[in-house]
Amino acid sequence: MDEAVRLDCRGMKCPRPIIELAKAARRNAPGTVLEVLADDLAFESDVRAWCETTRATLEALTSQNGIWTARVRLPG
Amino acid sequence: MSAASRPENALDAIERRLAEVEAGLRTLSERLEARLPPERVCLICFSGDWDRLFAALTIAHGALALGQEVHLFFTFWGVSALRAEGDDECEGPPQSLLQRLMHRMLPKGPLGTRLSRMHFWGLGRTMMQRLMRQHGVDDVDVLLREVRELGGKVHLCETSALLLGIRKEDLAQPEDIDRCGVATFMSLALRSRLVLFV
Repeated sequence: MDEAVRLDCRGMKCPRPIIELAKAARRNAPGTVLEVLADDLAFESDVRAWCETTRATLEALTSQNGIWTARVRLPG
Repeated sequence: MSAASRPENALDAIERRLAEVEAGLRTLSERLEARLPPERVCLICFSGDWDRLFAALTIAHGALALGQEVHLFFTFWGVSALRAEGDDECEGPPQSLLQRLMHRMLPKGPLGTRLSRMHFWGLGRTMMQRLMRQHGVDDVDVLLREVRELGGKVHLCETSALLLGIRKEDLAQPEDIDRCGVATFMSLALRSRLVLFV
């Protein structure tokens, strides 16, 4: 498994986690895997939508004790 | 007479050219069709006013009747319309004083919403209800229920709900509500025929 860039968005509310994700996507090279942690209830739906629209790949999305972990591979 | 100038050869050339043009047009139209957004309508129910809610739900009905996929995004004051009618206090995680205050002051469900004008401390609302009954016009609770029955999808802005002290326990039919954020809305809105802010 590729080394992932971690992004801690715990405690952030919509739209902050998605903004942070978009910023990280701009900072990192295409194909990078981002591991995003978030506890916003909207995150599950939003991260799926973000990946679909930006053509990123959502490799995994899991939840434990109310905290979501998303593995997102940037397009390209 | 040269071969190319013979009438049957010229006709062949024209037919070949026509077939090429036809094939080109077919590819072009396929490509254009692929770019057309799906038959989808997104409505942003921002206002918690009864009249605006009525308008949004009526439009949703029209869109569903015309075979469109309909998405209703309830955000900010609009969130109140998704509350269950009735009881003020219900089970759920504890809230801060401010959240409890918001929770208490906001309308409870679609029928608790106010007219944006001529409300007259509820008198206008009663008047409107009487008129609607007289003329057989459905009220917003019926419209909302039917929109959902007809397959209209209801989304709730998670952050608004949090700010207004509206928890999952306060919602009517919470299992059918997608609690989402702006990215979900945007991804659908970008691929819609129509987006309205109500």
